[in-house]
Amino acid sequence: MHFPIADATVSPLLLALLGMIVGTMTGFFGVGGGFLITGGLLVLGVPTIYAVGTGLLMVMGTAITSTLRHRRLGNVDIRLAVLIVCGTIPGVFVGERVNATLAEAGVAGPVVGGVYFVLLLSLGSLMVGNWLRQLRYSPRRTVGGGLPGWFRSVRVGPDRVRLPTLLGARFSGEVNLRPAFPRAGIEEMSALVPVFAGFTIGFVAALLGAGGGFLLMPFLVYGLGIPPAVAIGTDLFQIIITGSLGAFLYSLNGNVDPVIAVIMFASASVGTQLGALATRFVNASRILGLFGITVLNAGVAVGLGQLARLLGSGGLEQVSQVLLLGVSGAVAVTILMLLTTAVVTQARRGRRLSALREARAGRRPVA
Amino acid sequence: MHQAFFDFLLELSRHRILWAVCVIAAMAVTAVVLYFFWDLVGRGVALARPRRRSPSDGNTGRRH
Repeated sequence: MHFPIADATVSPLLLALLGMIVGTMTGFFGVGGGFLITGGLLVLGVPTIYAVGTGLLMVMGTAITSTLRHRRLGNVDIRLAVLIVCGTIPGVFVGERVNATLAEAGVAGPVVGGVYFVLLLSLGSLMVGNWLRQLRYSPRRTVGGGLPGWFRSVRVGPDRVRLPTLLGARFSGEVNLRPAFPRAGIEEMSALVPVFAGFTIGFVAALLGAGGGFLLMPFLVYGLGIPPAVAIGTDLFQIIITGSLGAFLYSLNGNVDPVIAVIMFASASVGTQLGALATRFVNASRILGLFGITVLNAGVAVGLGQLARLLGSGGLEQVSQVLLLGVSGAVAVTILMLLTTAVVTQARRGRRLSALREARAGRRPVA
Repeated sequence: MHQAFFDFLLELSRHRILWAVCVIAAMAVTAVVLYFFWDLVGRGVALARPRRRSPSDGNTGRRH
């Protein structure tokens, strides 16, 4: 099927399949899945600038649905999220401008593909390495030391700023630049740390067309030592801002194909429900390694796709397509199989229990 | 029919601000509608489940 806005010919079935895979992963792991959407659209042959813009629009939709679902859980540290967003907004503007300049120069494809390749490969290796370490040793959180300790103790500028008394004594006073983040479990940290982190993530997200969840999540968990549940909630809040702002900016330049986004989003919503349902039965932290493998594989597939375009090799492009959809699909199928096994086991246990009760109830009058 | 739809979208995409607002609004509405749709489905399943389970489970609330 030809999509005239993006000027790309892609099978709607492949788009729906990619959406379903992304949805299942999003529902299960709690990240936007932007890296997979844009990476997937790139290997499906959608032009880079449209893949980035459409990816951001899709990420926005996924984040709205996920946040609506998470709103009752109260897993958002509002103070931390607002500070991150303060950095994200200028970061998105700078990233979008850089991408547009690269597109005008005709090098957006190789640059975005290259950055994607390096980022996904490094993050995937970090996740898989951490998962393997957790398998070998019992996991211990080092909140007081290591990277979280450094980020929490780093001092940037003054601790307090005195406000000028411009509007009378009522608005005068001091602003604490090392506030506490109670929900995230941080006693005090420089407010500039989340602002800088937000700027970097906003810039990279707008450049690559992702929500930034795949970067912010590891930063919040491994960098700041925040509990994963709060990290997911705070992350999603930030993704809505990044996704909508980025999608709006790309739409203004006509670089978004809403038809591709809606096809993928409709099928992703089914996967999201199934993935979220699976989290009730399966401990997600135990198979985080699978997520790491998916990220690693996406990096390799994007790298192969770029290489195929450089060499003009159709065969290599097909290999990258099969690799991306195949491995991600295998992970999604594994999640669905775990869900089915858990549901069947629970139903069998229920049936066995009711049979036992009936047998006991039958014996009782005789005794 | 879908050719007419794509022609309409191409025409709309020429008005930049209107196009951007429409694209964002369309996705936001789709997200909210799908959320409520799946919420309703979930509630329906949750309502149907105890009715199906209670007789076979023998869980009548009586304890001896």
